Amino acid sequence: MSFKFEFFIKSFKIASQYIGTTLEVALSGLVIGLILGLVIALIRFYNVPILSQFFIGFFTILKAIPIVLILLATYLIFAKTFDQFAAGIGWQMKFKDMNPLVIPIFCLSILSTIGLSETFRGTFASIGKGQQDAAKSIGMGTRQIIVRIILPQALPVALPMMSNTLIGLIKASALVSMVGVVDIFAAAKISAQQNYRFLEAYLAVALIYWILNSVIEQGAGLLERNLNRRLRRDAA
Amino acid sequence: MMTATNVHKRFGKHEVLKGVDLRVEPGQVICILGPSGSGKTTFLRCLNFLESADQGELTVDGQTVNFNKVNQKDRLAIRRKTAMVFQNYALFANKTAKENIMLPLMSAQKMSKSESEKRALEGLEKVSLLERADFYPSQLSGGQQQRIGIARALAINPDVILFDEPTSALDPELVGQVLGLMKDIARSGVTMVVVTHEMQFAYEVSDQVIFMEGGVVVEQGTPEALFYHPKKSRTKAFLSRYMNA
Repeated sequence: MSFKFEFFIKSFKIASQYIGTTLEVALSGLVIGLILGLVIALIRFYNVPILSQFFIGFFTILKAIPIVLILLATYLIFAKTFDQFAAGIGWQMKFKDMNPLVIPIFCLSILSTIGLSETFRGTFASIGKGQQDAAKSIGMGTRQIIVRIILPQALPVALPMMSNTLIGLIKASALVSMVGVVDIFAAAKISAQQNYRFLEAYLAVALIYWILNSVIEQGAGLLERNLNRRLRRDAA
Repeated sequence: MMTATNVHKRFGKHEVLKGVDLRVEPGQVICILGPSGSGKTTFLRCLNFLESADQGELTVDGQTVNFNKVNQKDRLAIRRKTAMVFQNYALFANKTAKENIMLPLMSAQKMSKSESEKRALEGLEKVSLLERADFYPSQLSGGQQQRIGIARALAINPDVILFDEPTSALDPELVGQVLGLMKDIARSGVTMVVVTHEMQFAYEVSDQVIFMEGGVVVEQGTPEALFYHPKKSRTKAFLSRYMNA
């Protein structure tokens, strides 16, 4: 089997035009996951009745299902029910007009919400009850304790896990081609099929993923060192 | 003034407090002694609602609440009139020494930033740690951390400060630092309730000493009476080990 470098370059060029799509899906998933994960972690940390149990049950089911199945199932459910649902609430929108990124972002958000809520729950627990007791004992309210004491300490600790989650999301985003979205992986596959040069295309897209993820890892490392210096957590 | 009457608390089947009473007059120092597991710390934590007592009444500065039906508003109001010093210091790890004192002033007492900073610096001076104002807790020794903890409690000018075994986590040399500071505070007229194993301190500083065991107050009296003329045999047995040492 021969390796044609020019096809490698060609695939690399084609696929890299879709970096934006991959990043959009992964970053949206991360942001939604951060917000929901934080809220759910707080709900579980403070043991809010009913909601807390609900999320435990919800996660137990979703955690066990491969993301590719969640993606395909969500797509089918949306495809079958969206038009009816939209008509029901008086929306003019049809499924075929919907932004094709909505479903992948929705599914990756589930993935990141589950992961990040567990991460946050762990970091909250690592802060220790003493500081919360101290804050309560001088009459600080729950919201003040969360904003002033818990989050400033939990977020830097959670940072490495957040960057891991983002890397996981970028890799998982390669699945979006299954629901008709063209990302870097799908673009590379298309170029491979046109030229019958699969190895070159796959290696080219692997290189793109590697570059993206290295940048994220380096960036997170820098940010982490910066935060640690400011918070003096390294000496703790 | 602070009074607590008939405080009951159970953890599951185990009744930790079986009707404890406490009365603290302004400016008084009360030490609570007793073996481990006697309920001293639990009692102290109940006074600040860190544990929720099942039964009993608490009055602080004229405000009376019933433990089993206290609402969040009353709880916050009473907490803002009291302060607590913890065994493990419990400083906020993400705040410097100065910020540790400022945070309660700004967030719970609604004081301006500049005024709380001024108070924090005064507080640091009082505990002789002004030069450590911008250090983080992780950069301070245990004794220094506890002195910051005490400064944090003093700064809010509470009706009473509750001390929960403030020297138990310190090495003997540092214990002296912290006890010395507490003596100064006691002399300056701050109302204090101190759970401690430091018998010498209790003897020298307290107005009243309480001996607790098994969730009840076994005996209460002046240090003189309790240490030298205990009425109950259990008190005598517990204190004799310290008195002979």
